[in-house]
Amino acid sequence: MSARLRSFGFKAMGGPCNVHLWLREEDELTKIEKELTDEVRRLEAKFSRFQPSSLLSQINRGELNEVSLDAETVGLFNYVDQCFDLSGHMFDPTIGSLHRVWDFKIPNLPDPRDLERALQHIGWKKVNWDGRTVNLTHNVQIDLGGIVKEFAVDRLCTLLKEKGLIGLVNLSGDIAVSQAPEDKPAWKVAIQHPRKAGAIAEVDLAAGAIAGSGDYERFIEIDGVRYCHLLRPDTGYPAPNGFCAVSVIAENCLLAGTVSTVAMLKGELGHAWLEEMQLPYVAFDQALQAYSSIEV
Amino acid sequence: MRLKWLFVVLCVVGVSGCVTVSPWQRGNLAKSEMSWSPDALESTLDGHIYFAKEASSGGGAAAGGGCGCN
Amino acid sequence: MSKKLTLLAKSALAIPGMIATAQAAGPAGSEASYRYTYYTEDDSPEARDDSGGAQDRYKIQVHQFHILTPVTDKFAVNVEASYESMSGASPVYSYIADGQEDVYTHFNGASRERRYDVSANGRYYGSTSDAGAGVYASMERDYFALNGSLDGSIQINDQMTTLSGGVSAGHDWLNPNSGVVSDSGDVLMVNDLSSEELEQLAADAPARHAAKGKTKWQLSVFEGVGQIIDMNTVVQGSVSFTYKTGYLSDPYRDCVGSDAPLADNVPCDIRPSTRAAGTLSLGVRRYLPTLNAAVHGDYRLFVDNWDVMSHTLDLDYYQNWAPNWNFFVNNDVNFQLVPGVRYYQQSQAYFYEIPDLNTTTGSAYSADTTRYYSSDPRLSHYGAISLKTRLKIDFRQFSLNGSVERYAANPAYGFNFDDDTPGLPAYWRFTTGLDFRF
Repeated sequence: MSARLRSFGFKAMGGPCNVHLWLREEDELTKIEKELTDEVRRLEAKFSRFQPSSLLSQINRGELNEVSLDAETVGLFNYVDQCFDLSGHMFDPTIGSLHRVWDFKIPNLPDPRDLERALQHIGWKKVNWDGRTVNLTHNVQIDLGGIVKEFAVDRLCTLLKEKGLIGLVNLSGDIAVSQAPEDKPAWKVAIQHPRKAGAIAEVDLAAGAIAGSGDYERFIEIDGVRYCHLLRPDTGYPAPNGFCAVSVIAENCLLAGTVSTVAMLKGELGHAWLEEMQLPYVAFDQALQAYSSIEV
Repeated sequence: MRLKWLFVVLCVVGVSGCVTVSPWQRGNLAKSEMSWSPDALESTLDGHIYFAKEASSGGGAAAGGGCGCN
Repeated sequence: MSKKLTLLAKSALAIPGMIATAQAAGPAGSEASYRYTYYTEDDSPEARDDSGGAQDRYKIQVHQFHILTPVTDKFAVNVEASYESMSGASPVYSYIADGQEDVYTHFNGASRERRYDVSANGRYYGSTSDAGAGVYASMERDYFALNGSLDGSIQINDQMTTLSGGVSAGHDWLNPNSGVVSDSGDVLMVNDLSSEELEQLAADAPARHAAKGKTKWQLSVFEGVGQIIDMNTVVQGSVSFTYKTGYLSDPYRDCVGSDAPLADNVPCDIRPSTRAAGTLSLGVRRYLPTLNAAVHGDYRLFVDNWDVMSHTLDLDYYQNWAPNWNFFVNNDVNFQLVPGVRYYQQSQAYFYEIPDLNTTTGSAYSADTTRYYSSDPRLSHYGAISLKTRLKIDFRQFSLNGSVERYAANPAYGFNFDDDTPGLPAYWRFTTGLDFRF
């Protein structure tokens, strides 16, 4: 019996998740669906900053200060630490307090004094990560929202690979594929138009992952200036004169996601960052002019 | 029969009270220094010498072949 | 790739679960190994050697070869072979001499002996199980042993638990030499002697004469269970049972040669013709992530129907060190230092006895020696301590190995402060070798 393309979807991590995969045995689908859903739920329960029982909430309450963390958390924190250094401190998972002073539902800029106070609780170094344990100071809070979704995509893709399955995992636009589809040399992935519904470009993905960031996800507009939800840890504001959307292709979704996020945060220096990282990318500036290292 | 009983106890002790360690969390367990006998030739010679010099042998596996050394 | 990207990609892949692990557990590549070992026993204690002087005890040189190669992704073949050459004296009987209180040991110097062995096994790997079959042969001029084995394991309980089991059977043929050297210098085998020579041998060396053409059988089974405890810990327990039947005495144990009147009453070496032994083994492996090290602990309890009960405790510490310098990183250089200690302790076999040739005692032995008797120090109540250190250096697909072991056996190490057992060995062992992966 030849393989057929099957799909299933569920809600996870604040967005839709879709999995497409080639299956020979019809009855495998429910089993795989359960296994993949369980894995996403596990990561949600572990790294959610909203669930009081999550590991991350325990860490944020200081309950796990100077306690050896598990290997997975250690791996993620080491990765964060590396990103923080390499991005010139732009990538910082402690900016959570900024989201309490920015309200993207009403067109008002935050009170500068509130912003100043919030900035005092920001700084990855205040977590005192030593490669094994944390020791949170200055009421700092960790928010892994910027990487857990990408990591979850990689985890699901790894599970497919371990089963020898051909498939594509899409979690709110962050995508990874286990290998090229059976009938074509690559999966066709559409890139969202930053200003209107529909696609602005299409890329071929035979292996690896693609992830993107854009100023269109959550933003407010004041006097013609767009303020998006990607806030810088140094100013507390979004980067001025940056890209409006960036998509990066990498061997895994985590890498693609962080490189594109940092490109957004770097503002005018975003293009130089992308060139320096030497990963395939597609980016659009405010005038929707395309910058790209690949054919799209 | 006593040995059989021990085996049953070992099984029960072994299975209960352990959280599942997922395959992707087994990187450390897969390291060569975590195997039961990391160096095959050393284990062979150890077994041979201790068998020749002591009254006990075996354990861990079915007994290996003999030699004129004991 | 840019340097930044390389660093970032490396720490992303270091997160557990980012890389798919292969489902088939078979070996991915081939490996060939060679080891050279020099084994040397300390000289016998001069004061307790009835020859009046110290003698060179055993020196053994061992060459070992090993090759493991996957034939398909589910089937692999493993072959081991070794060649040993040995020379030196070994203890052939112990006694308390007439008019003495101390135990003396008589040593016999063996001529240069050689031993060859080869074992081969094939193993089939399923996704959660494996099964293997193997054969083993050991050849000496005066001894031939064959062995065959089957074993398998299966993983259950989300692959957290491994159940294993196996069976082996062996047959040995004894063909002791006569201790007589022919005119051309060859050592004559017992089977090659004429009937007159045999009669002489029966009188001079009854043990060797008695072992003429003898054989023994061995059957062994084991069951084990391994359990993953957490991300860094795995434990294992197993039991085994071995039954031997046939000629189990040592043909090279001689009868007490002494002028004491009671010496004639002491037999050479008569052991029961069956031996049943059981073992219980427990092991733990724990990885220490912060130290990049692993700790091994192994315990074995051995019990047999010769009243020998022994405890063996092995502790090893594996310390890895991978320097983060360019040359070392580019060439996959890793160091592994493994210090270890082994403690062994056994009780004596019920038929072990040192004959006391003092005429004043009236009898050379108290046990029923007409049935079973041995003065083999290996059957006495003693303990042994061994210290071992190994160093492994990986370089690309090569590993250079070296190890040193110091072993010493003594009644006192086994909490036996009453007896004196001069024939127990102490030795040094030096090993070096090379592994090659391809």
